[in-house]
Amino acid sequence: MPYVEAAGLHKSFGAVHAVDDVSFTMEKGKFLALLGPSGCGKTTTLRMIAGLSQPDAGAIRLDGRDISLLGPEKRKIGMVFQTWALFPHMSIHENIAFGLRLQKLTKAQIKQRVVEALELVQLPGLEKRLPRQLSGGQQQRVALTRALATRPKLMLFDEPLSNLDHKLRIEMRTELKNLQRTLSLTCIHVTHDQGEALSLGDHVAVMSAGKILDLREADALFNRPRVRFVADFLGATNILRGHVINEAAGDTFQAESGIRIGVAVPDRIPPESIRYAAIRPEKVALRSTKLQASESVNAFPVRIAEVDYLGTVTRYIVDLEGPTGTKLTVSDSTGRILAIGEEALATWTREDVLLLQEDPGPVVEGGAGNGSP
Amino acid sequence: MRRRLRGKGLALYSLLIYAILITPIVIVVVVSFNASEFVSFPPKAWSILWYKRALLNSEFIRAFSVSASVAGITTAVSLVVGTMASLAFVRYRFFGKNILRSLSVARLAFPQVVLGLALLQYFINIGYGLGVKALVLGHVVVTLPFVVQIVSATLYGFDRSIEEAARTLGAGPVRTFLRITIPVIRPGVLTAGIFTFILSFDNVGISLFVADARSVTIPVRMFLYIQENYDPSIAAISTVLIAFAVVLVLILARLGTLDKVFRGRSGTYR
Repeated sequence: MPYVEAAGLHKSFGAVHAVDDVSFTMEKGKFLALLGPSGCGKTTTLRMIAGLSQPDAGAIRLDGRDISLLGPEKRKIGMVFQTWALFPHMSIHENIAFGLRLQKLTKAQIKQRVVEALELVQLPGLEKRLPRQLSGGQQQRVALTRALATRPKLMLFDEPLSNLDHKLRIEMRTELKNLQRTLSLTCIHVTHDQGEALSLGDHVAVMSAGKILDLREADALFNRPRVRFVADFLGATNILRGHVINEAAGDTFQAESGIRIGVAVPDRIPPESIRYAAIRPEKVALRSTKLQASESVNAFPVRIAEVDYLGTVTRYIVDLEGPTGTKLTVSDSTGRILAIGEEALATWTREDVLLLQEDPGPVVEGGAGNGSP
Repeated sequence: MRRRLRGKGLALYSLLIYAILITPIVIVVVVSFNASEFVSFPPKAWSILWYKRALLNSEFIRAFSVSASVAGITTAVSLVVGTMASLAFVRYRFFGKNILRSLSVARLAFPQVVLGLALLQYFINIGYGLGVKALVLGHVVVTLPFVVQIVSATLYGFDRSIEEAARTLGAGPVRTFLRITIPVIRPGVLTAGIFTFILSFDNVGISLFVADARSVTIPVRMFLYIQENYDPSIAAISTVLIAFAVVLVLILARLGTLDKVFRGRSGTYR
């Protein structure tokens, strides 16, 4: 029996179907990341699990028990909020002790647990401070350890890292992951940051318009996305619409815009279900036009249209020569910088082309790649 | 150079404004120590005679105690009702909310004397009667908009996830309200309370109409007194009241919420 189970969750706000038939299961000690753009229903899903929002339909089970009708205070679920939500009128000790007092522990036990809690997040001795006297990173750790101190069965995270600066966010991410492994915590983490989701999650669920589009191991989801939205959201932004045809030279993807690219259709995908081909910007190489001799299957002459120098990588938008009007985004890390108007040869391998199916349900608008019509 | 000159001009202008505001108060205080039989300025001889007279005057004493108890009850009632109304306005959506809210503010533009007269008619017609209970109800009508404004300003800046955090940590709704919500909005509520107390204590417009012979408040008693007497005991009583108000305002300043209230809806909307 799964440790956590969400079954057919629905939630509407007026005419908006915020969560539309969300179901998933989780094993104990695993980390699940709910990833999606704002408004996709990920936070609402999390809040329903916490008991802070009532589902219109569906059930939530935790550790073999249906908790759907319990108030948040009876669920034994810890939560860390985006704003950290420390009690501003209480010292750090009182903040952490708040949940422990409600568990009817003795004064000595509480004191002991607060000391342990602060040691866990490397903030010993801060008991007497007020939240506003702490830095953002420290407040975040207190919020984490305050929730952990009550020994919840499940930990929920509502984008708690989004209010930290970049460097601290990466640090906290590592710390959180280590803590989760050491304590074998079961966690659900909501984020709109794909890097955060992939780094933290054993499993990642990508959500859009209230639905889970795909839920798999992080690496599988990234390397072998099944549907267009997931590929796009995880950075495969060059997306072409079309279909696969069989040719003597091998599998070929015929795009609606007219271009043909060589692909390798894996056995697991029925060729007739393929609607899109996607290529990650970093998988495209820009080579000198002198190598024209077709050394690779996919080699297209292009002209540089836009250059965006970002340091480690340079992002280009290139126009494919010819009548198709196709544009590609290319992420180049060779350090060589091409100028606008320069010609080059864009190449990639058959295996780098991701073959995708249509999104389930109504087609999701927005965020489409450059190649799609 | 020009900047500097303008700075001086501004300083002088500010000084003048403050002088105009404060001079009458200073005069009242000075007059209260006048040994003369009549209110006159500047005094020729000094005395605390009028303080003795005023503080031994049983009518003043009784009026003071009526005012204090009316202000106390008014404050308690206004705070409970006003805080509840603020919670409803800020946190819930309901039919007629905007109309109710506009009405609660529109009341401020309504002449108190008219309201006092209306309340007098109303209380007598419905058989509610006059006296302390009428004073309290009348004063609540005056003070409630202030409480709603001040407490609402505090609630707009309130991050509701701290209440949710309390819930996930095991606290039920009632405990969350008492241990988290109330303590966090307490400075706003206390500020509103002190305002209410001062407004009620000072009120003439309503009190003049709905007080009865046994429940004359101190401002009304003073008003009645100067119609027949013009001795400095009225200045002495005034000075005592000024001192009382200064203490309350100092408490307000210490609470540090005045800025927030007058800046209005500070903090983040959620």
